[in-house]
Amino acid sequence: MNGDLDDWLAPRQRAATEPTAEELFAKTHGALRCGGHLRWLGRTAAALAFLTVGYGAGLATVPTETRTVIVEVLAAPIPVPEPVPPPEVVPEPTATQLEMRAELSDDPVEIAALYRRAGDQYLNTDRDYPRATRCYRLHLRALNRPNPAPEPDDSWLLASLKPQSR
Amino acid sequence: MTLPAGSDVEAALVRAAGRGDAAAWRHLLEANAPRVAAYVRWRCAGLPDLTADAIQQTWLEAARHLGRFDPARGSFSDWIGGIVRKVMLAEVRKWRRYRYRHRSFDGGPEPGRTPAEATGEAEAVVRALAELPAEYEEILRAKYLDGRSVRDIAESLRISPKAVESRLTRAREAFRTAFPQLGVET
Repeated sequence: MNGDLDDWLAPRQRAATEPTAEELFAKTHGALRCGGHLRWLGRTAAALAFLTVGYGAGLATVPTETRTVIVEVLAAPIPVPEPVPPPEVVPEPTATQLEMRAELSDDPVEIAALYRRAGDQYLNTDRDYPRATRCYRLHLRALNRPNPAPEPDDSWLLASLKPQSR
Repeated sequence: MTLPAGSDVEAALVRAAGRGDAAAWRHLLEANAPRVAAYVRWRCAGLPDLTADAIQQTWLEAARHLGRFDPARGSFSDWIGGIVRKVMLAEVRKWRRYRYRHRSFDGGPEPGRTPAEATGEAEAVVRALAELPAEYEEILRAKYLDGRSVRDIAESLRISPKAVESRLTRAREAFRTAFPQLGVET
């Protein structure tokens, strides 16, 4: 080895081949911008990769259960007519019931009409001539008319009793 | 043009340059280029072509990796000094790989010495400095390149002057150990 250690470690003189600051700037500025762009691209690519992986993982972990599709069908309500209850059939009172109502009534006209209907039923429905005769006589008594004239709708029994009531 | 090392201005310049601001990068480069060149030249033992390549490679690496600079961990000068060390290691490895194809780093002879002698010793210095531990290289640089006093080095390293002298002694011994082994064999 030639020379002393101090000589080898001493500062060196600048060589003519060394690049100047201006030359260094010209050669490195492009790398600086490229480096910035590469960093931006790298970050963007990393973000996209992260999102893609996350999306893929999300798809992979979605439970495969059957999806229930609820279809709601909206329909206008069709008016349904209220069922009209059949007219209440009032059973025709029996002759006995009519005779009872006549006995409880205070109205002479109503009493006469009820005994008339009771007499007709006894006669036409029940063929019960004695009770029909009795109801017809009570009818004529309730009418309280002297010489009642026979009417076209009078039954044969009532028509026969009218002359007797004079 | 000087910048206070480790200052807020320097940190702002680095941030602006990292965003692609050409003026900021030019300012940083011009402020630090002389010191970086002196360091590279010292590490290259004055071999001109190697020095030129290493300077350019250092600034190229700095431009590419400017985003990695952290002002909280040290000054820009210290950061780029680290890049110089990495570049020099790479150059030495490259030289080892192709030593038979590329016999020397180039360089002119000193007066009274043959080109082969001067180039071989310079290459040995380059390799010896590259082999040294970082703390030895750092203290040899402060002493021989920057010409700082022991007291000044002690203050910057926050150790006693006696510790500086001790470390300097060990660094010289390490360099002497590495230098003949690397240089003579070629």
